[in-house]
Amino acid sequence: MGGYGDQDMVNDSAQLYTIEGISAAILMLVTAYLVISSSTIITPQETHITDMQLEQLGHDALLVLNTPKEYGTPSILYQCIRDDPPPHSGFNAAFNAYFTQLLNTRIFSGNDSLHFKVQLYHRDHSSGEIQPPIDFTSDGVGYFRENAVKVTQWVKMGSDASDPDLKDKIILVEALIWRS
Amino acid sequence: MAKLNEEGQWIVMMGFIVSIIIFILAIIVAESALVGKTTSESVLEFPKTDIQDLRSLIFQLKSNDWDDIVKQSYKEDIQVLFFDRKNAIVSYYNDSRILFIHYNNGITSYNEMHEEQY
Amino acid sequence: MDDNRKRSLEDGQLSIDFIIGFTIFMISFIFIAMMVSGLLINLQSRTIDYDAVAYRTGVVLVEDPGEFGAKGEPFYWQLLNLANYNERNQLERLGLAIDRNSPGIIQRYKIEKFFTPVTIGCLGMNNLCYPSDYKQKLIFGDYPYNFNISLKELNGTNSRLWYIGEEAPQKHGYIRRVVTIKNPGYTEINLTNGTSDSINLFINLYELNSPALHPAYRMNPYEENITIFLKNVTIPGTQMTNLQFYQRDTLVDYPGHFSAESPTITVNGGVFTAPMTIDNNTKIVMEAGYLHRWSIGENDLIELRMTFDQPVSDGFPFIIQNYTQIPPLTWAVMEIKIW
Repeated sequence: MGGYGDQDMVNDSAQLYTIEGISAAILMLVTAYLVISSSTIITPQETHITDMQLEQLGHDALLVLNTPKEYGTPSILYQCIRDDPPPHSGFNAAFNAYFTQLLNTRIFSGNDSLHFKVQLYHRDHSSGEIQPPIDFTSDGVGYFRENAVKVTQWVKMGSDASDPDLKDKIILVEALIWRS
Repeated sequence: MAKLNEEGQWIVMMGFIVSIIIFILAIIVAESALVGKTTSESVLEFPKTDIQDLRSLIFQLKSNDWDDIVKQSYKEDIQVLFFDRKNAIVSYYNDSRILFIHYNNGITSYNEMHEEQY
Repeated sequence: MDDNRKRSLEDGQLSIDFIIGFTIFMISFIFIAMMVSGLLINLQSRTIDYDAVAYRTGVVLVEDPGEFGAKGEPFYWQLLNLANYNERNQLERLGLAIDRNSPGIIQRYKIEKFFTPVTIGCLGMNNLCYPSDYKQKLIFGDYPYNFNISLKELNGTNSRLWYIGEEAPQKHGYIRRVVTIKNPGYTEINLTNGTSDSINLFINLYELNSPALHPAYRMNPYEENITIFLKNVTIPGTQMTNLQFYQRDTLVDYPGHFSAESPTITVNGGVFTAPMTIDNNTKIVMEAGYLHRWSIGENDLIELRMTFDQPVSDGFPFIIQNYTQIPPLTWAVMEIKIW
């Protein structure tokens, strides 16, 4: 033992250790990289957040229009519905102007780009059933598969409504709002 | 070669175990995204605006000296529209100067007894 | 050969290749352990709920009238004197709405108080502390969120802009609300050439608080200034000789007793001393919080008696509602950013 026997000590019978160490390391690195590069936690929630913001803003804007500015005078929403003559044309310029302003005004940036379509629902007193909705107004931009929210307001119409179907009733105003 | 040289196998096994642990953590992380989702979902689910609008409408009816509260056509308008468009059951009535309001949309139920301090 | 193997099991020696392989494994393991712990930090979800906090802040500001003191007390937190330590502690929640049943309608004086904080030395002053009062009484939560709240009136050229907070970074939680602002009204009394030299202005708080009238259109002497303009002064040099404040039939305040500190009754901006010459620009203000200062009940009858040296009225009492104009509600946009 010695001399050429020493050559037996330096051999490649333990190369397996090195290779196994390297292969384990590569296995762990690849796993960790795959996992970290595919973690997109935030994305699924964003749809609901924007819906929540949009629904709150839309309801606020419609509520403001349904609040009379002074005691004794009717609100802007009431006046626009009252003065909209039957058959309803589906476009009410006065309402559109106010509603667009309330929805799209931002304080520091420029205007937002929200669009809407408003319908009225009322109940027929003789049959007791809900009638098909009246297309009250829209801002002209067609609706096509955007994420939209629906907001509502209640209006108590008096006997001065120009549409006899809406006289002396409580009606539901539904606005569909989306961002394009 | 009578016996396979297994003396370094435990290194690879440890590497494999660590990878499995990382995968399990990734699964937990992925599920937490579902948990975080329900924050704004539950905001959307609670009918805050429905209830506020209902109260505001009923108080508006009450301000006309209570005549409009008992008017049957208004009550039916409100009940049928709420049921048809908002899938909620609404009822209200008064007992002298106390107003009772009930709302139930299947998930949330709201009951109020409103007394006027006047 | 068997001898060799047995020797390596007992003599504590590892082959160099084994050490190298094991070292490579351990280095990469430590590296990955650090990477994975970074993965878990993202789960703390601070970034996810900025929008939820902004939404909640928006609801508290716009739909909540605020809270101070014992439950059931009225919501006039803007009348508290925050220089007083006890009163500042009583303030629990900041909210701008006029009333619990009127969400979306906010009060002008609450806005003014909310948007004028003081940063340094605020504890001894009648101002909110920026940013600690806002974080404790509006934003809530353990994590120190930064905030930025702005309110802009949509009233044409007369539009005011209120703003607190710093500039927000790119990634922030955001909510936008649309509100109406209730502004205080003013009273105009026309002098007439009658028989009496006094004007008795009756303020019946019981009637003013009538629930038949929606709170957005009510005159509220508790929370708002009562501003009285005297008009139609025909005799030049007419002087007001006396100004007295009565609760039911008890004299509460009179010249010489009026406080120099707000809230008090001022004439043309200053404390009244008899006699004072009046003209068509005379303005008498009973400041918000004056009734609270004298512990006037919410349904009491109070009277302001003004005496002059010339005939000014026909002797009948003036009921304040008949002479008061409440201005229309104005629209406004509020933006809240949290990060």
